[in-house]
Amino acid sequence: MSNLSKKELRNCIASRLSQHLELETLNEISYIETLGDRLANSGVSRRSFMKYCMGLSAMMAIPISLMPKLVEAALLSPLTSVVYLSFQECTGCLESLVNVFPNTQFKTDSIENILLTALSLDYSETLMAPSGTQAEKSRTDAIAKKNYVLVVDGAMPDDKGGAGFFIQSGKTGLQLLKAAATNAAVVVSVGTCASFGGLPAAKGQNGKSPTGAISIKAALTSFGGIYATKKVINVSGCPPIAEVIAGTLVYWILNKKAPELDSNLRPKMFYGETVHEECYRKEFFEHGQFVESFDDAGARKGYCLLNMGCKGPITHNACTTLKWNQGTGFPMEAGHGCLGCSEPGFWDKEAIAGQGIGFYKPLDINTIDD
Amino acid sequence: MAHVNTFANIPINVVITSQSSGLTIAMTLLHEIQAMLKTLLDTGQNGILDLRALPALGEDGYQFLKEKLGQGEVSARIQSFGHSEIQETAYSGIWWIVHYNQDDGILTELVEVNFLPELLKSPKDDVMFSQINLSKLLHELTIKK
Repeated sequence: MSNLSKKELRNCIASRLSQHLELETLNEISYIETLGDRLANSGVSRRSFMKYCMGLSAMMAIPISLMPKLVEAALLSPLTSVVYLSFQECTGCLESLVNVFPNTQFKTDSIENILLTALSLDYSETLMAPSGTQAEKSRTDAIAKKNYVLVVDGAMPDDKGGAGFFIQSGKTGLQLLKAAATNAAVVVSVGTCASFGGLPAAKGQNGKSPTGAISIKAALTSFGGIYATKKVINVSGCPPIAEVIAGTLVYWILNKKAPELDSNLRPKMFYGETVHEECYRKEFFEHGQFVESFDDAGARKGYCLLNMGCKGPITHNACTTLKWNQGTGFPMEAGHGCLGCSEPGFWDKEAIAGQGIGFYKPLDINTIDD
Repeated sequence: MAHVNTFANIPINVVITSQSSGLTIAMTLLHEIQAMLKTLLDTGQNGILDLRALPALGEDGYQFLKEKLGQGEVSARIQSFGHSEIQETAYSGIWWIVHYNQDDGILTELVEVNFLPELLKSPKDDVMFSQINLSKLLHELTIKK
């Protein structure tokens, strides 16, 4: 190659690029692949899948006696197609989801790998191999099918005026979302940005979000028609717990319907309780023993972190029960209060009237239900 | 010198008049297991209890249930994404099953009422794949000869 002139080198690159663009995407498989086929081809036995689902039944509030029939039906069903779109986000949510599949020296395989096997991830800009026109074709093909699960992370810039905050292949975020939502069976908003606006929706100095960011539900509602009534599941958190994302998707695979949702459209099975209710420091809260500054005597004794700004009493999430990093721990176990990342208005709302906002400003104890 | 009674000399017979809620739940579960046995014998339908879904059972109720059901003749171990322990109880047809994850943490704990736990049976589809794979192996071995 080093003997080639610059002109020859340019021609060589141009030729390769043109060949690349002419590559055809793989033909669609002529038969419908079932979940059972996929598991078998991946070396996952029925027994393993059954065991995994049995383990989830208590968490998902599915009677365990029903689980064998649900699993049997799921194994005979076609693979659940997933289209994953990203808007104003930091990729932390996807990072969290892929962390559910540990692949370390000690965990060469994981039970949650089953989830990856159980899904047909037909489009994800971050994870997929195709790029350019092939990537565009992947999306067009995927959303031309019906009844896929549309997973969205990131808030939506409300740029109907054409401000151009999010443009991809000549289309705005709103146009991309509308096209992808048309045939979706359900829209899963992963992360607080997609669920409630999150950081992009936080107010700037002029009291407005710089991009006018709104939640995915709000964007769908603004389209009206079938979009306003489209089933939306909010899986909030910054990021959400990996097992919560996985659990919500497995519930859909097994039941072909959404789990019971709270008033903020979050699955009650994960967001039914506040982190305060299950916190191991709650006993100190009840006895009025609080940490007053980090590393004081109370902090060393593990007292309640309410006065250090812990938002646990108003934050609904499964941190204290499922924990983080494959069940290793959660913020209060590390000596830090909850930031309230899974609640609407994260960044802006956690304020006491007249005292402004701040992660370290304590909640009013009189407003906390015991 | 007058004899002074100590507490040890005072005959006290502690009468427990009420059971803890955990024991009450454990008793209820034993009745439910008995009903499951009847269903199994009458209809062949198995029954499963998920002990992790019953946090009110508590440590005392859990120990009571485990102690009363005891251990039977058969124990089995499944090695599949973390191991599982299956133990027949002293009552034939009642199985105590614990599924562990890869970190040896308990994933779920069940009591299954069945002639043989469902998870021990080889699923038909997996047997079909075995048949195909064994055929391939035999084919390869034949070619090598």
